[in-house]
Amino acid sequence: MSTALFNLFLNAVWETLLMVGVSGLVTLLVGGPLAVVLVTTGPGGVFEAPRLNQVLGAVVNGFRSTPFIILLVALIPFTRLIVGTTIGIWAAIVPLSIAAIPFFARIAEVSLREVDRGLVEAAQAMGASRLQIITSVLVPEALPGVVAGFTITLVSLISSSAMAGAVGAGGLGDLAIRYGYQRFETTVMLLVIAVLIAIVMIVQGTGDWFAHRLNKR
Amino acid sequence: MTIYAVRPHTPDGDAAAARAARPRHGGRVTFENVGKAFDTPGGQVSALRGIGFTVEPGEIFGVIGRSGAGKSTLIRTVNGLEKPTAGRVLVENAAGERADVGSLSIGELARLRRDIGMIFQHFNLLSSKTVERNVGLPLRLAGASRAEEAGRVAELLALVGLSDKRGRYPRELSGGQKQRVGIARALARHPAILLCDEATSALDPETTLSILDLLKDINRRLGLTVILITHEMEAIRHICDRVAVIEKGEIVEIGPVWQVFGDPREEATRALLKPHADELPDDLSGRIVPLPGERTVPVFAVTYTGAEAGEPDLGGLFGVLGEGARLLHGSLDRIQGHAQGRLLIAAPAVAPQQAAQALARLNTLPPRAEIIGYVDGAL
Repeated sequence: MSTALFNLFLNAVWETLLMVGVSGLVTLLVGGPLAVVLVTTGPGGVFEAPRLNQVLGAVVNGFRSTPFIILLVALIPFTRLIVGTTIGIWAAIVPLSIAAIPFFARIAEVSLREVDRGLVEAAQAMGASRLQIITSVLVPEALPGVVAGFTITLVSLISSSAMAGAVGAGGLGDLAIRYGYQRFETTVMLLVIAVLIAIVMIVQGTGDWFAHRLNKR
Repeated sequence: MTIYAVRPHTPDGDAAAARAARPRHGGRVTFENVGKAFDTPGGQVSALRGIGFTVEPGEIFGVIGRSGAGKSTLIRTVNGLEKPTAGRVLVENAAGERADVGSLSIGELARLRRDIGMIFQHFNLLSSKTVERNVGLPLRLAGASRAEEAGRVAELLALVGLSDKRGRYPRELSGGQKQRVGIARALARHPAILLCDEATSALDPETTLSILDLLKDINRRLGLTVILITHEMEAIRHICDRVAVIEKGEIVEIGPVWQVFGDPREEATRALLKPHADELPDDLSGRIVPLPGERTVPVFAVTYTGAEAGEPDLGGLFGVLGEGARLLHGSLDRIQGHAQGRLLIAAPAVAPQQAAQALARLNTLPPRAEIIGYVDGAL
Protein backbone atom coordinates (compact mmCIF):
# COMPACT_ATOMS: atom_id res chain seq x y z
CA MET A 1 0.00 0.00 0.00
CA SER A 2 1.34 3.40 -0.96
CA THR A 3 1.82 6.17 1.56
CA ALA A 4 -0.93 8.16 -0.10
CA LEU A 5 -3.34 5.25 0.22
CA PHE A 6 -2.28 4.71 3.81
CA ASN A 7 -3.01 8.34 4.65
CA LEU A 8 -6.38 7.97 2.97
CA PHE A 9 -6.95 4.93 5.08
CA LEU A 10 -6.06 6.68 8.33
CA ASN A 11 -8.31 9.54 7.35
CA ALA A 12 -11.17 7.10 6.71
CA VAL A 13 -10.74 5.53 10.16
CA TRP A 14 -10.86 8.99 11.72
CA GLU A 15 -13.96 9.92 9.72
CA THR A 16 -15.76 6.75 10.77
CA LEU A 17 -14.89 7.28 14.41
CA LEU A 18 -15.98 10.90 14.23
CA MET A 19 -19.30 10.10 12.56
CA VAL A 20 -20.08 7.25 14.94
CA GLY A 21 -18.87 9.19 17.95
CA VAL A 22 -20.82 12.37 17.30
CA SER A 23 -24.01 10.66 16.16
CA GLY A 24 -23.70 8.24 19.07
CA LEU A 25 -23.50 11.14 21.50
CA VAL A 26 -26.47 12.89 19.91
CA THR A 27 -28.40 9.60 20.02
CA LEU A 28 -27.66 9.17 23.70
CA LEU A 29 -28.65 12.73 24.55
CA VAL A 30 -31.88 12.68 22.55
CA GLY A 31 -32.81 8.99 22.46
CA GLY A 32 -32.33 8.47 26.20
CA PRO A 33 -34.77 11.18 27.25
CA LEU A 34 -37.11 10.08 24.46
CA ALA A 35 -37.15 6.57 25.93
CA VAL A 36 -37.96 8.02 29.35
CA VAL A 37 -40.81 10.04 27.82
CA LEU A 38 -42.10 6.97 25.97
CA VAL A 39 -42.18 4.95 29.19
CA THR A 40 -43.47 7.59 31.58
CA THR A 41 -46.26 8.81 29.30
CA GLY A 42 -47.31 5.22 28.57
CA PRO A 43 -50.08 3.31 30.37
CA GLY A 44 -49.42 3.31 34.11
CA GLY A 45 -46.46 5.68 33.75
CA VAL A 46 -45.84 8.51 36.19
CA PHE A 47 -46.61 11.14 33.53
CA GLU A 48 -49.36 9.13 31.86
CA ALA A 49 -50.49 10.89 28.65
CA PRO A 50 -52.00 8.44 26.18
CA ARG A 51 -52.30 10.93 23.26
CA LEU A 52 -48.71 12.12 23.41
CA ASN A 53 -47.54 8.56 23.85
CA GLN A 54 -49.41 7.40 20.75
CA VAL A 55 -48.10 10.25 18.61
CA LEU A 56 -44.51 9.73 19.77
CA GLY A 57 -44.83 6.00 19.25
CA ALA A 58 -46.06 6.52 15.70
CA VAL A 59 -43.22 8.93 14.86
CA VAL A 60 -40.64 6.54 16.26
CA ASN A 61 -42.11 3.64 14.30
CA GLY A 62 -42.13 5.74 11.12
CA PHE A 63 -38.41 6.46 11.35
CA ARG A 64 -37.64 2.93 12.42
CA SER A 65 -39.30 1.44 9.35
CA THR A 66 -37.55 3.67 6.79
CA PRO A 67 -34.36 2.08 5.36
CA PHE A 68 -31.31 4.14 6.21
CA ILE A 69 -30.17 4.73 2.63
CA ILE A 70 -33.59 6.26 1.87
CA LEU A 71 -33.54 8.33 5.05
CA LEU A 72 -30.13 9.61 4.02
CA VAL A 73 -31.56 11.05 0.83
CA ALA A 74 -34.99 12.01 2.13
CA LEU A 75 -33.50 14.05 4.94
CA ILE A 76 -31.31 16.17 2.66
CA PRO A 77 -33.43 19.35 3.05
CA PHE A 78 -33.48 18.92 6.82
CA THR A 79 -29.76 18.28 6.88
CA ARG A 80 -29.13 21.49 4.97
CA LEU A 81 -31.26 23.34 7.50
CA ILE A 82 -29.26 21.98 10.43
CA VAL A 83 -25.65 21.90 9.27
CA GLY A 84 -25.84 24.15 6.20
CA THR A 85 -24.46 21.55 3.82
CA THR A 86 -25.59 18.28 2.29
CA ILE A 87 -22.21 16.69 1.72
CA GLY A 88 -19.45 15.51 4.01
CA ILE A 89 -19.22 14.10 7.49
CA TRP A 90 -21.52 16.58 9.19
CA ALA A 91 -24.15 16.00 6.54
CA ALA A 92 -24.00 12.27 7.34
CA ILE A 93 -24.17 12.77 11.09
CA VAL A 94 -27.68 14.25 10.85
CA PRO A 95 -29.37 11.25 9.19
CA LEU A 96 -27.20 8.82 11.18
CA SER A 97 -28.44 10.37 14.43
CA ILE A 98 -32.01 10.55 13.25
CA ALA A 99 -31.98 6.88 12.33
CA ALA A 100 -30.26 5.83 15.56
CA ILE A 101 -32.36 7.91 18.00
CA PRO A 102 -35.62 5.95 17.58
CA PHE A 103 -33.68 2.68 17.44
CA PHE A 104 -31.95 3.39 20.75
CA ALA A 105 -35.10 4.87 22.28
CA ARG A 106 -36.99 1.62 21.68
CA ILE A 107 -34.21 -0.52 23.15
CA ALA A 108 -33.82 1.74 26.19
CA GLU A 109 -37.60 1.81 26.55
CA VAL A 110 -37.65 -1.96 27.03
CA SER A 111 -35.09 -1.75 29.85
CA LEU A 112 -36.96 1.09 31.54
CA ARG A 113 -40.24 -0.75 31.26
CA GLU A 114 -38.72 -3.79 32.94
CA VAL A 115 -38.09 -1.84 36.15
CA ASP A 116 -40.40 -3.38 38.75
CA ARG A 117 -43.61 -1.38 39.32
CA GLY A 118 -43.13 -2.08 43.00
CA LEU A 119 -39.98 0.08 43.06
CA VAL A 120 -41.89 3.00 41.60
CA GLU A 121 -44.62 2.46 44.15
CA ALA A 122 -42.06 2.32 46.97
CA ALA A 123 -40.58 5.63 45.81
CA GLN A 124 -44.06 7.17 45.61
CA ALA A 125 -44.74 5.96 49.13
CA MET A 126 -41.55 7.76 50.22
CA GLY A 127 -42.90 11.00 48.85
CA ALA A 128 -40.67 11.10 45.77
CA SER A 129 -41.71 13.57 43.09
CA ARG A 130 -42.25 12.24 39.61
CA LEU A 131 -38.93 13.60 38.42
CA GLN A 132 -37.21 12.03 41.42
CA ILE A 133 -38.81 8.71 40.52
CA ILE A 134 -37.20 8.97 37.09
CA THR A 135 -33.77 10.04 38.33
CA SER A 136 -33.54 7.91 41.49
CA VAL A 137 -35.41 4.79 40.48
CA LEU A 138 -36.14 4.28 36.79
CA VAL A 139 -32.81 5.37 35.31
CA PRO A 140 -30.41 3.78 37.84
CA GLU A 141 -32.34 0.50 37.82
CA ALA A 142 -32.53 0.35 34.01
CA LEU A 143 -28.93 1.48 33.48
CA PRO A 144 -27.28 -1.91 32.82
CA GLY A 145 -29.86 -2.68 30.13
CA VAL A 146 -29.60 0.82 28.69
CA VAL A 147 -25.81 0.52 28.44
CA ALA A 148 -26.15 -2.82 26.66
CA GLY A 149 -28.70 -1.23 24.32
CA PHE A 150 -26.43 1.71 23.62
CA THR A 151 -23.64 -0.70 22.69
CA ILE A 152 -25.91 -2.35 20.13
CA THR A 153 -26.82 1.10 18.83
CA LEU A 154 -23.14 2.06 18.40
CA VAL A 155 -22.41 -1.13 16.49
CA SER A 156 -25.35 -0.54 14.17
CA LEU A 157 -24.15 3.07 13.71
CA ILE A 158 -20.76 1.75 12.59
CA SER A 159 -22.45 -0.34 9.94
CA SER A 160 -24.82 2.47 8.85
CA SER A 161 -21.90 4.88 8.55
CA ALA A 162 -20.56 2.75 5.69
CA MET A 163 -23.41 4.13 3.61
CA ALA A 164 -22.45 7.70 4.37
CA GLY A 165 -20.26 7.66 1.24
CA ALA A 166 -23.49 8.26 -0.63
CA VAL A 167 -23.36 11.86 0.59
CA GLY A 168 -19.61 12.09 0.21
CA ALA A 169 -18.89 11.73 3.88
CA GLY A 170 -16.08 9.26 3.46
CA GLY A 171 -15.25 6.83 6.20
CA LEU A 172 -14.17 3.23 6.05
CA GLY A 173 -17.18 1.93 4.17
CA ASP A 174 -16.76 4.51 1.44
CA LEU A 175 -13.05 3.66 1.16
CA ALA A 176 -13.82 -0.03 0.84
CA ILE A 177 -16.30 0.57 -1.96
CA ARG A 178 -14.28 3.08 -3.96
CA TYR A 179 -10.85 1.47 -3.63
CA GLY A 180 -11.48 -2.09 -2.54
CA TYR A 181 -14.44 -2.81 -4.82
CA GLN A 182 -14.29 -0.37 -7.73
CA ARG A 183 -10.47 -0.37 -8.12
CA PHE A 184 -9.95 -4.03 -7.17
CA GLU A 185 -7.61 -3.17 -4.28
CA THR A 186 -8.23 -6.34 -2.33
CA THR A 187 -5.72 -5.36 0.36
CA VAL A 188 -7.68 -2.20 1.13
CA MET A 189 -10.90 -4.18 1.28
CA LEU A 190 -9.44 -6.72 3.70
CA LEU A 191 -7.81 -4.07 5.83
CA VAL A 192 -11.05 -2.12 6.10
CA ILE A 193 -12.89 -5.28 7.15
CA ALA A 194 -10.21 -6.09 9.73
CA VAL A 195 -10.33 -2.58 11.22
CA LEU A 196 -14.13 -2.60 11.30
CA ILE A 197 -14.11 -5.93 13.10
CA ALA A 198 -11.58 -4.55 15.59
CA ILE A 199 -13.65 -1.41 16.24
CA VAL A 200 -16.84 -3.42 16.71
CA MET A 201 -15.09 -5.80 19.09
CA ILE A 202 -13.67 -2.98 21.17
CA VAL A 203 -17.03 -1.19 21.35
CA GLN A 204 -18.92 -4.37 22.17
CA GLY A 205 -16.34 -5.50 24.73
CA THR A 206 -16.30 -2.13 26.49
CA GLY A 207 -20.09 -1.95 26.51
CA ASP A 208 -20.43 -5.47 27.90
CA TRP A 209 -17.90 -4.72 30.61
CA PHE A 210 -19.75 -1.61 31.70
CA ALA A 211 -23.15 -3.31 31.60
CA HIS A 212 -21.80 -6.17 33.68
CA ARG A 213 -20.14 -3.85 36.17
CA LEU A 214 -23.39 -1.92 36.62
CA ASN A 215 -25.61 -4.95 36.93
CA LYS A 216 -26.15 -5.69 40.62
CA ARG A 217 -29.30 -7.70 40.13
CA MET B 1 -31.95 14.20 65.32
CA THR B 2 -34.31 12.53 67.75
CA ILE B 3 -32.90 9.75 69.85
CA TYR B 4 -35.73 7.61 71.08
CA ALA B 5 -35.77 6.38 74.63
CA VAL B 6 -35.73 2.63 75.01
CA ARG B 7 -38.78 1.67 77.03
CA PRO B 8 -38.91 -1.46 79.15
CA HIS B 9 -41.21 -4.12 77.77
CA THR B 10 -44.59 -4.44 79.43
CA PRO B 11 -46.65 -7.63 79.60
CA ASP B 12 -49.03 -8.27 76.72
CA GLY B 13 -52.11 -8.10 78.89
CA ASP B 14 -51.63 -4.43 79.58
CA ALA B 15 -51.75 -3.32 75.98
CA ALA B 16 -53.71 -0.20 76.81
CA ALA B 17 -51.48 0.75 79.71
CA ALA B 18 -48.40 0.12 77.58
CA ARG B 19 -49.82 2.35 74.87
CA ALA B 20 -50.43 5.08 77.35
CA ALA B 21 -46.88 4.82 78.65
CA ARG B 22 -45.32 5.05 75.21
CA PRO B 23 -43.87 8.26 73.89
CA ARG B 24 -46.54 9.65 71.61
CA HIS B 25 -45.06 9.36 68.16
CA GLY B 26 -47.92 7.45 66.62
CA GLY B 27 -50.36 8.77 64.07
CA ARG B 28 -54.08 8.17 63.99
CA VAL B 29 -55.88 6.94 60.89
CA THR B 30 -59.63 7.28 60.51
CA PHE B 31 -61.55 5.65 57.69
CA GLU B 32 -64.88 7.38 57.15
CA ASN B 33 -67.23 5.33 55.04
CA VAL B 34 -64.47 4.65 52.52
CA GLY B 35 -65.37 3.10 49.21
CA LYS B 36 -63.32 2.37 46.10
CA ALA B 37 -64.62 1.35 42.71
CA PHE B 38 -62.49 0.44 39.72
CA ASP B 39 -63.58 0.82 36.12
CA THR B 40 -62.84 -2.35 34.23
CA PRO B 41 -63.81 -3.45 30.73
CA GLY B 42 -66.40 -5.68 32.38
CA GLY B 43 -68.02 -2.75 34.22
CA GLN B 44 -67.47 -1.19 37.63
CA VAL B 45 -65.95 -3.38 40.28
CA SER B 46 -66.18 -2.19 43.84
CA ALA B 47 -63.07 -3.08 45.80
CA LEU B 48 -64.06 -1.40 49.07
CA ARG B 49 -67.47 -0.54 50.52
CA GLY B 50 -68.43 1.44 53.60
CA ILE B 51 -65.15 1.01 55.45
CA GLY B 52 -65.31 2.86 58.77
CA PHE B 53 -62.94 2.45 61.69
CA THR B 54 -60.14 4.26 63.48
CA VAL B 55 -56.60 3.10 64.13
CA GLU B 56 -55.40 4.67 67.36
CA PRO B 57 -51.92 6.15 67.93
CA GLY B 58 -49.33 3.56 68.91
CA GLU B 59 -51.53 0.64 68.05
CA ILE B 60 -50.57 -2.38 65.95
CA PHE B 61 -53.63 -2.85 63.83
CA GLY B 62 -54.08 -5.85 61.58
CA VAL B 63 -56.32 -6.23 58.56
CA ILE B 64 -56.79 -9.83 57.51
CA GLY B 65 -58.59 -11.17 54.50
CA ARG B 66 -58.27 -13.53 51.61
CA SER B 67 -56.46 -12.41 48.48
CA GLY B 68 -58.73 -10.16 46.48
CA ALA B 69 -60.69 -9.11 49.56
CA GLY B 70 -59.54 -5.50 49.13
CA LYS B 71 -56.94 -5.22 51.88
CA SER B 72 -54.16 -4.02 49.56
CA THR B 73 -56.42 -1.31 48.22
CA LEU B 74 -57.41 -0.36 51.76
CA ILE B 75 -53.86 0.10 53.06
CA ARG B 76 -52.95 2.13 49.97
CA THR B 77 -55.63 4.69 50.70
CA VAL B 78 -53.69 5.68 53.83
CA ASN B 79 -50.75 7.13 51.90
CA GLY B 80 -52.71 8.05 48.81
CA LEU B 81 -51.34 5.37 46.48
CA GLU B 82 -55.04 4.66 45.94
CA LYS B 83 -57.70 7.35 45.99
CA PRO B 84 -61.03 6.39 47.53
CA THR B 85 -64.04 6.98 45.28
CA ALA B 86 -66.26 7.48 48.33
CA GLY B 87 -65.72 8.64 51.90
CA ARG B 88 -62.55 10.04 53.44
CA VAL B 89 -59.34 8.78 54.96
CA LEU B 90 -58.06 11.10 57.68
CA VAL B 91 -54.48 10.85 58.84
CA GLU B 92 -53.42 12.64 62.00
CA ASN B 93 -49.71 12.93 62.67
CA ALA B 94 -47.98 12.86 66.05
CA ALA B 95 -48.39 16.62 66.37
CA GLY B 96 -52.15 16.27 65.97
CA GLU B 97 -52.34 17.82 62.49
CA ARG B 98 -55.08 16.19 60.48
CA ALA B 99 -55.10 15.66 56.73
CA ASP B 100 -57.79 14.35 54.42
CA VAL B 101 -55.63 12.17 52.16
CA GLY B 102 -57.91 12.32 49.16
CA SER B 103 -58.00 16.11 49.03
CA LEU B 104 -54.26 16.79 49.17
CA SER B 105 -52.32 18.42 46.35
CA ILE B 106 -49.32 16.56 44.92
CA GLY B 107 -46.91 18.54 47.09
CA GLU B 108 -48.97 18.07 50.26
CA LEU B 109 -49.27 14.37 49.52
CA ALA B 110 -45.48 14.08 49.16
CA ARG B 111 -45.11 15.76 52.57
CA LEU B 112 -47.69 13.44 54.15
CA ARG B 113 -45.92 10.42 52.72
CA ARG B 114 -42.72 11.46 54.46
CA ASP B 115 -44.62 10.89 57.69
CA ILE B 116 -45.80 7.41 56.66
CA GLY B 117 -43.38 4.54 56.12
CA MET B 118 -44.32 1.51 54.05
CA ILE B 119 -42.88 -1.96 53.66
CA PHE B 120 -43.80 -4.44 50.97
CA GLN B 121 -44.20 -8.14 50.36
CA HIS B 122 -41.42 -8.19 47.78
CA PHE B 123 -39.30 -5.63 49.65
CA ASN B 124 -39.01 -3.30 46.63
CA LEU B 125 -35.36 -2.45 47.16
CA LEU B 126 -33.27 -0.84 44.43
CA SER B 127 -31.09 -3.63 43.07
CA SER B 128 -28.54 -1.11 41.81
CA LYS B 129 -27.90 0.41 45.23
CA THR B 130 -26.17 -0.88 48.34
CA VAL B 131 -28.02 -1.49 51.59
CA GLU B 132 -26.76 1.85 52.86
CA ARG B 133 -27.91 3.75 49.78
CA ASN B 134 -31.30 2.01 49.84
CA VAL B 135 -31.92 2.96 53.45
CA GLY B 136 -30.78 6.52 52.78
CA LEU B 137 -32.99 6.99 49.71
CA PRO B 138 -35.92 8.64 51.54
CA LEU B 139 -33.45 11.05 53.15
CA ARG B 140 -31.84 11.94 49.82
CA LEU B 141 -35.28 12.46 48.29
CA ALA B 142 -36.00 14.93 51.07
CA GLY B 143 -32.73 16.73 50.41
CA ALA B 144 -30.73 15.57 53.44
CA SER B 145 -27.01 16.29 53.45
CA ARG B 146 -24.49 13.48 53.11
CA ALA B 147 -23.51 13.71 56.76
CA GLU B 148 -27.12 13.66 57.94
CA GLU B 149 -27.79 10.67 55.72
CA ALA B 150 -24.75 8.72 56.93
CA GLY B 151 -25.58 9.32 60.58
CA ARG B 152 -29.22 8.35 60.32
CA VAL B 153 -28.47 5.30 58.14
CA ALA B 154 -25.97 4.00 60.69
CA GLU B 155 -28.60 4.39 63.42
CA LEU B 156 -31.24 2.60 61.37
CA LEU B 157 -28.99 -0.28 60.37
CA ALA B 158 -28.10 -0.78 64.02
CA LEU B 159 -31.81 -0.78 64.89
CA VAL B 160 -32.57 -3.59 62.43
CA GLY B 161 -29.34 -5.46 63.14
CA LEU B 162 -27.70 -5.07 59.74
CA SER B 163 -24.76 -2.78 60.48
CA ASP B 164 -22.35 -5.29 58.97
CA LYS B 165 -24.23 -5.43 55.65
CA ARG B 166 -24.19 -1.75 54.80
CA GLY B 167 -22.00 -2.10 51.70
CA ARG B 168 -23.83 -5.14 50.32
CA TYR B 169 -26.26 -5.21 47.43
CA PRO B 170 -29.80 -6.55 47.91
CA ARG B 171 -29.09 -9.66 45.82
CA GLU B 172 -26.52 -10.71 48.41
CA LEU B 173 -29.11 -10.72 51.20
CA SER B 174 -31.64 -13.29 52.37
CA GLY B 175 -35.36 -12.51 52.29
CA GLY B 176 -35.44 -11.67 55.97
CA GLN B 177 -32.46 -9.34 55.64
CA LYS B 178 -34.06 -7.62 52.66
CA GLN B 179 -37.18 -6.97 54.70
CA ARG B 180 -35.03 -5.55 57.49
CA VAL B 181 -33.54 -3.16 54.96
CA GLY B 182 -37.10 -2.33 53.88
CA ILE B 183 -38.03 -1.60 57.50
CA ALA B 184 -34.95 0.56 58.06
CA ARG B 185 -35.77 2.50 54.90
CA ALA B 186 -39.40 2.95 55.96
CA LEU B 187 -38.29 4.35 59.33
CA ALA B 188 -35.70 6.73 57.87
CA ARG B 189 -37.73 9.88 58.34
CA HIS B 190 -39.21 9.12 61.76
CA PRO B 191 -42.67 8.29 60.46
CA ALA B 192 -45.70 8.37 62.73
CA ILE B 193 -47.28 5.46 60.88
CA LEU B 194 -45.82 2.30 59.39
CA LEU B 195 -47.81 0.46 56.72
CA CYS B 196 -46.96 -3.21 56.21
CA ASP B 197 -48.26 -4.70 52.98
CA GLU B 198 -48.06 -8.49 53.35
CA ALA B 199 -44.62 -7.84 54.79
CA THR B 200 -43.99 -11.42 55.85
CA SER B 201 -45.86 -13.32 53.17
CA ALA B 202 -42.75 -14.06 51.10
CA LEU B 203 -40.77 -15.28 54.10
CA ASP B 204 -40.39 -18.68 55.75
CA PRO B 205 -42.11 -19.18 59.13
CA GLU B 206 -39.00 -18.64 61.24
CA THR B 207 -37.99 -15.46 59.42
CA THR B 208 -41.60 -14.30 59.60
CA LEU B 209 -41.46 -14.49 63.39
CA SER B 210 -38.20 -12.58 63.59
CA ILE B 211 -39.58 -9.80 61.35
CA LEU B 212 -42.80 -9.66 63.37
CA ASP B 213 -40.79 -9.43 66.58
CA LEU B 214 -38.78 -6.60 65.06
CA LEU B 215 -41.97 -4.76 64.11
CA LYS B 216 -43.35 -5.18 67.60
CA ASP B 217 -40.09 -4.01 69.11
CA ILE B 218 -40.06 -0.94 66.88
CA ASN B 219 -43.68 -0.20 67.74
CA ARG B 220 -42.82 -0.35 71.42
CA ARG B 221 -39.62 1.62 71.26
CA LEU B 222 -40.70 4.32 68.84
CA GLY B 223 -44.40 4.31 69.65
CA LEU B 224 -45.39 4.55 66.01
CA THR B 225 -48.68 3.25 64.74
CA VAL B 226 -48.42 0.06 62.68
CA ILE B 227 -51.04 -1.01 60.18
CA LEU B 228 -50.45 -4.46 58.84
CA ILE B 229 -52.37 -6.32 56.17
CA THR B 230 -51.94 -10.02 55.67
CA HIS B 231 -53.69 -13.24 54.89
CA GLU B 232 -51.70 -15.03 57.57
CA MET B 233 -53.52 -15.40 60.85
CA GLU B 234 -50.24 -16.14 62.61
CA ALA B 235 -48.87 -12.69 61.84
CA ILE B 236 -51.92 -11.01 63.32
CA ARG B 237 -51.99 -13.25 66.35
CA HIS B 238 -48.32 -12.68 67.02
CA ILE B 239 -48.23 -8.90 67.20
CA CYS B 240 -51.52 -7.14 66.62
CA ASP B 241 -53.56 -5.34 69.26
CA ARG B 242 -56.72 -5.19 67.17
CA VAL B 243 -57.78 -6.81 63.95
CA ALA B 244 -60.34 -6.16 61.24
CA VAL B 245 -61.51 -8.97 59.02
CA ILE B 246 -62.18 -7.86 55.47
CA GLU B 247 -64.26 -9.86 53.04
CA LYS B 248 -65.37 -8.81 49.56
CA GLY B 249 -64.42 -5.20 50.26
CA GLU B 250 -66.25 -4.89 53.56
CA ILE B 251 -65.16 -5.08 57.17
CA VAL B 252 -67.12 -8.00 58.59
CA GLU B 253 -65.60 -8.15 62.03
CA ILE B 254 -63.38 -5.89 64.10
CA GLY B 255 -62.07 -5.97 67.65
CA PRO B 256 -59.20 -7.00 69.90
CA VAL B 257 -57.37 -9.97 68.39
CA TRP B 258 -58.18 -12.30 71.28
CA GLN B 259 -61.86 -11.57 70.86
CA VAL B 260 -62.11 -11.87 67.10
CA PHE B 261 -59.96 -14.97 66.89
CA GLY B 262 -61.17 -16.57 70.10
CA ASP B 263 -64.80 -16.25 69.25
CA PRO B 264 -65.18 -15.61 65.53
CA ARG B 265 -68.75 -14.57 64.70
CA GLU B 266 -68.48 -14.39 60.94
CA GLU B 267 -68.10 -17.13 58.38
CA ALA B 268 -65.22 -15.24 56.73
CA THR B 269 -63.26 -15.15 59.98
CA ARG B 270 -63.84 -18.84 60.58
CA ALA B 271 -62.69 -19.64 57.08
CA LEU B 272 -59.45 -17.74 57.69
CA LEU B 273 -58.94 -19.51 61.00
CA LYS B 274 -59.86 -22.92 59.65
CA PRO B 275 -56.36 -24.28 59.06
CA HIS B 276 -55.74 -23.65 62.74
CA ALA B 277 -59.14 -24.73 64.00
CA ASP B 278 -59.47 -27.58 66.37
CA GLU B 279 -59.42 -30.50 64.04
CA LEU B 280 -59.32 -33.89 65.57
CA PRO B 281 -56.42 -36.24 65.00
CA ASP B 282 -57.52 -39.06 62.68
CA ASP B 283 -57.29 -41.84 65.23
CA LEU B 284 -59.52 -39.89 67.61
CA SER B 285 -62.14 -38.83 65.11
CA GLY B 286 -62.45 -42.49 64.09
CA ARG B 287 -63.27 -43.44 67.67
CA ILE B 288 -65.80 -40.78 68.43
CA VAL B 289 -69.37 -41.81 67.62
CA PRO B 290 -72.27 -39.36 67.50
CA LEU B 291 -74.70 -41.28 69.72
CA PRO B 292 -74.31 -42.96 73.10
CA GLY B 293 -74.31 -46.73 73.16
CA GLU B 294 -73.48 -49.56 75.57
CA ARG B 295 -70.42 -48.71 77.65
CA THR B 296 -69.83 -45.33 75.97
CA VAL B 297 -68.45 -42.30 77.70
CA PRO B 298 -69.42 -38.72 76.77
CA VAL B 299 -66.74 -36.48 75.28
CA PHE B 300 -66.93 -32.86 76.38
CA ALA B 301 -65.43 -30.16 74.23
CA VAL B 302 -64.54 -27.27 76.48
CA THR B 303 -63.80 -24.09 74.57
CA TYR B 304 -61.99 -21.11 76.00
CA THR B 305 -62.70 -18.04 73.90
CA GLY B 306 -60.55 -15.69 75.93
CA ALA B 307 -63.54 -13.79 77.22
CA GLU B 308 -63.42 -15.60 80.57
CA ALA B 309 -61.78 -13.83 83.44
CA GLY B 310 -58.56 -15.33 84.71
CA GLU B 311 -56.78 -18.51 83.76
CA PRO B 312 -58.70 -21.72 82.92
CA ASP B 313 -59.95 -23.31 86.12
CA LEU B 314 -59.09 -26.99 85.77
CA GLY B 315 -60.16 -27.78 89.31
CA GLY B 316 -63.67 -26.50 88.64
CA LEU B 317 -63.72 -28.37 85.37
CA PHE B 318 -62.84 -31.69 86.90
CA GLY B 319 -65.12 -31.04 89.83
CA VAL B 320 -68.01 -31.21 87.39
CA LEU B 321 -66.66 -34.00 85.20
CA GLY B 322 -65.88 -36.22 88.15
CA GLU B 323 -63.40 -38.94 88.72
CA GLY B 324 -61.50 -40.61 85.93
CA ALA B 325 -61.88 -37.71 83.51
CA ARG B 326 -59.29 -38.03 80.79
CA LEU B 327 -57.85 -35.44 78.46
CA LEU B 328 -58.14 -36.80 74.90
CA HIS B 329 -56.86 -33.84 73.04
CA GLY B 330 -56.41 -30.17 73.55
CA SER B 331 -54.62 -27.00 72.74
CA LEU B 332 -54.44 -23.70 74.52
CA ASP B 333 -52.85 -20.51 73.35
CA ARG B 334 -52.28 -17.21 75.00
CA ILE B 335 -53.21 -14.26 72.84
CA GLN B 336 -52.66 -10.88 74.43
CA GLY B 337 -52.86 -12.55 77.82
CA HIS B 338 -56.13 -14.34 77.11
CA ALA B 339 -56.28 -18.12 77.14
CA GLN B 340 -57.80 -19.54 74.02
CA GLY B 341 -58.33 -23.03 72.79
CA ARG B 342 -60.24 -26.21 73.27
CA LEU B 343 -59.93 -29.28 75.45
CA LEU B 344 -61.56 -32.60 74.68
CA ILE B 345 -62.25 -34.52 77.83
CA ALA B 346 -63.80 -37.98 78.20
CA ALA B 347 -65.75 -38.21 81.45
CA PRO B 348 -66.64 -41.78 82.45
CA ALA B 349 -68.12 -40.55 85.74
CA VAL B 350 -70.86 -38.66 83.91
CA ALA B 351 -73.77 -41.02 83.24
CA PRO B 352 -75.77 -40.44 80.07
CA GLN B 353 -78.78 -39.08 81.94
CA GLN B 354 -76.56 -36.60 83.85
CA ALA B 355 -74.83 -35.31 80.77
CA ALA B 356 -77.14 -32.37 80.18
CA GLN B 357 -76.86 -31.33 83.79
CA ALA B 358 -73.06 -31.52 83.69
CA LEU B 359 -73.07 -29.43 80.57
CA ALA B 360 -75.19 -26.77 82.22
CA ARG B 361 -72.83 -26.63 85.19
CA LEU B 362 -69.79 -26.40 82.95
CA ASN B 363 -71.33 -23.49 81.11
CA THR B 364 -71.56 -21.52 84.36
CA LEU B 365 -67.82 -21.86 85.00
CA PRO B 366 -67.57 -20.43 82.31
CA PRO B 367 -65.74 -21.95 79.49
CA ARG B 368 -68.16 -22.92 76.73
CA ALA B 369 -68.89 -26.63 76.68
CA GLU B 370 -70.65 -29.09 74.46
CA ILE B 371 -70.81 -32.82 74.04
CA ILE B 372 -69.30 -33.67 70.70
CA GLY B 373 -69.82 -37.42 70.85
CA TYR B 374 -69.03 -40.56 72.71
CA VAL B 375 -66.14 -42.96 72.93
CA ASP B 376 -65.91 -46.51 74.02
CA GLY B 377 -65.73 -46.62 77.80
CA ALA B 378 -62.86 -49.08 77.77
CA LEU B 379 -60.72 -46.47 76.02
